[in-house]
Amino acid sequence: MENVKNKMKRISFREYGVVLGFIALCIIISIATPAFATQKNIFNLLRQSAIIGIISAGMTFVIISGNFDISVGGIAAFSGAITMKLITSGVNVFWAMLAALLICGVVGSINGFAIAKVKIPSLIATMAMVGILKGAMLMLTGGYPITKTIPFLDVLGNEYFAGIPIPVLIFAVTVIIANLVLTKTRFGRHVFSVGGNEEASKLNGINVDAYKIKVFIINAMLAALAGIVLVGRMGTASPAAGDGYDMDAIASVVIGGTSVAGGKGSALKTVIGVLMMSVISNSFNLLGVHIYFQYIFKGLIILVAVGMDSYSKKNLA
Amino acid sequence: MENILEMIEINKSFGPTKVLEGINFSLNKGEVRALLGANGAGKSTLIKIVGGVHTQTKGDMYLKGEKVSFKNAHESKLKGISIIYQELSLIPTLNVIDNIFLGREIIGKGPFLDKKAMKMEYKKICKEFEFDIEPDCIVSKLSLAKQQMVEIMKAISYNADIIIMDEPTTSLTNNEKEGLFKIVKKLKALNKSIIYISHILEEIFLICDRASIMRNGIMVGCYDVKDLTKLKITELMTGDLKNRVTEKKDYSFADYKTTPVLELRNVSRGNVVKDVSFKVHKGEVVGIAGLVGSKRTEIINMIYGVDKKDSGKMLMNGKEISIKSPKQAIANRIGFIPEDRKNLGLILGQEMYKNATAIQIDKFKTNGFLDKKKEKEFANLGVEKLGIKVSSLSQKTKELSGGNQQKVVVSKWLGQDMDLIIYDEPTKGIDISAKEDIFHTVEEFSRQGIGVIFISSDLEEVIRVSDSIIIVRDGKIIEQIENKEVKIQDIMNMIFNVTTGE
Repeated sequence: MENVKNKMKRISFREYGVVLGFIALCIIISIATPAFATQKNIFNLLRQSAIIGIISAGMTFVIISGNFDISVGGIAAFSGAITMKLITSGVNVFWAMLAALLICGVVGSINGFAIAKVKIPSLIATMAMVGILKGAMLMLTGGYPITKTIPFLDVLGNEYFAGIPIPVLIFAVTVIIANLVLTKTRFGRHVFSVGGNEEASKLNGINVDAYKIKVFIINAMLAALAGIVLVGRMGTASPAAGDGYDMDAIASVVIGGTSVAGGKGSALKTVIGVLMMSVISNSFNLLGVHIYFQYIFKGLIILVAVGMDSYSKKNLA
Repeated sequence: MENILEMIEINKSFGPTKVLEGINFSLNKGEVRALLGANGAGKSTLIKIVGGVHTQTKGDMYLKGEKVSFKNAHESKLKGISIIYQELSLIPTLNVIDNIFLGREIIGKGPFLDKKAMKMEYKKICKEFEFDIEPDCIVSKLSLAKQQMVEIMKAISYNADIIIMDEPTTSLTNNEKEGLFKIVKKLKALNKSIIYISHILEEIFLICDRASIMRNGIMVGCYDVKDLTKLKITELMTGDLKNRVTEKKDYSFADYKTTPVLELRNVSRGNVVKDVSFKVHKGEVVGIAGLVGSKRTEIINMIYGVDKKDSGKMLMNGKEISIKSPKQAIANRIGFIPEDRKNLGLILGQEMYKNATAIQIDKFKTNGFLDKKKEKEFANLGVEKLGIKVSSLSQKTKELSGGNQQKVVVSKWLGQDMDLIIYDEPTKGIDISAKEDIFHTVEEFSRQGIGVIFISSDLEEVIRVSDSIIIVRDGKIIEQIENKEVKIQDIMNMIFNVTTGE
């Protein structure tokens, strides 16, 4: 019995270590700078998190399935550009958004096909997609930002509902649905299974390739949604938008404890990862730490988070 | 009794190698059937055909009277056949209950899983078969034995008609074995059919009704267990070889007067290798005989520095040494020809000559740079000495036949300063003439005064090349015998733990 208790303790510490770390970080920063724990700053922080958060929810699916997608930044920017381009050409805002989501879904399915059927490692396949998207985007925009205030998009990016910023609501809804799908549906269960052991999944009659493709489509469409919210927030679709989003999203997911080896993770915990990253940038800004150093710090965080996961796995085996 | 599975004249070849020939096999409902045979007899191939992993080259298979041909493992499972393989098919990152219902989850309201219903069913199976495993435990945290139990639960929960167990007891403790036997009996009572593969013959007498015995890819026959004895079984597995003293070793360069090149004194590693002591003399060939899974490879992995020993002493030429890595083993004049030549012995995508020079690479340099000419000269020496068939020295290794690949592995050690060389299953999957060439290299090395350790599942080979033979069972040395007038049957009996008095 004592043994079981000890085991429970150890497991729960590992499970909630990230949460504890997050709380500790918040307390330290609140003490270091009083500007942190203000309602204005917190809302600002949450709003900043929302876009990366929506992307990270999709990235959680991809990483649990044992893959990576570094084209999400490109997809988000592409989606924003499509939306604005269509709207400025006279298309209704809803049709424009739908078109952007669907086209990006197709982009995701190409990623998935290249990975599942052609067997290209996901990092390489999505890296190639980054290049393709960049070219497509420059063709679409001619290299200039498309700026126009669209009332609906402005509401989407900047207004409040029930006192909460709308992007934050979208983020929350996305995460709740992602979590339901991952934990309560057959689809989610099989995503875990594919990431945990591909061969064994096949033996259990799971169509591994189909799952990989679907996961990349989900990820791309969520990135596209984030891109639309981003355009709403900024009022402009810039060819340079989305830079660095891939790194932030992957970092958020792994900090949240999703294993880069696949088969393990949680959309809810990804939220902690997202908030952690935002709190770090936010407090660095408040404390006046230079942006250059922030990049270095984010890179180091990825190394530490993935390192802990991989190293403990190696030692267990 | 009602017949459930019928296999008629099944043949299976992998390329030119015939693995099964004219196999007839029929299984009744509610029967526990043992499938027996020495390593390489074809048991695994046969059950993989039943399980849809392989497809037969010739012959028909009928399930409940209906002709079937499975394209993959899942099809066979849907038809009510569950196989519990030695290598487990669980998802390590999922928990027990999720693994059991994987691929056929119960769906409740809308798109959502009905976790309650699955837990109920889980509890039902647990109660009926007396399992006691936490449903929420992540599988990778369970012991191997518990994981095996989860596999069995999974097979049961599928409600399969035929359950095949491939050496299910290897990782189980005595208590757990008892539990397994109970389960088998319960399944039998439910009119399920079981095919039970094991090398531990006692188990056969405890739980099986009949035994099908295989030898070298043919079916010897099917016998009522009550008509069998352990001795009878090993005789049937050995066949007409039993009284033949195989082609005798006609050379010996063993020098028993000098200090042995290698001596192990009470070497152990965990619960795997247990108190192993033996000597290898100059020019002596020591054969190791034991079943797959008897930890033969684990013993030599320790000598070659792949695994670390926990206790005991290892001496080379009388001096105690400690080897922590293969690199140190090579520096200590030990050579090694691994069992898995495709993954451990060769870089298949590389040219043949680059593989041949891999170990002694430092000898082929000019002014500090690798010298292709010198490399090829050396590779060519191997080609001539061992008769390796290559279209050119730059041919990719993966294009060579198994026998020629194996010769390339051996040729890596030619001319290397060695006191000891270890062959682990060097003749697996290679043709007869290549085998002869490999035996010849053993003779050559021992003529040069190098001690040889030779492991093979083919007992005829062990008798053919060895000066003395070590019998290994369950990580322990059971006996070391001088290779004089030894019969295969004798070794077989020792391996299978049969006392001739029975």
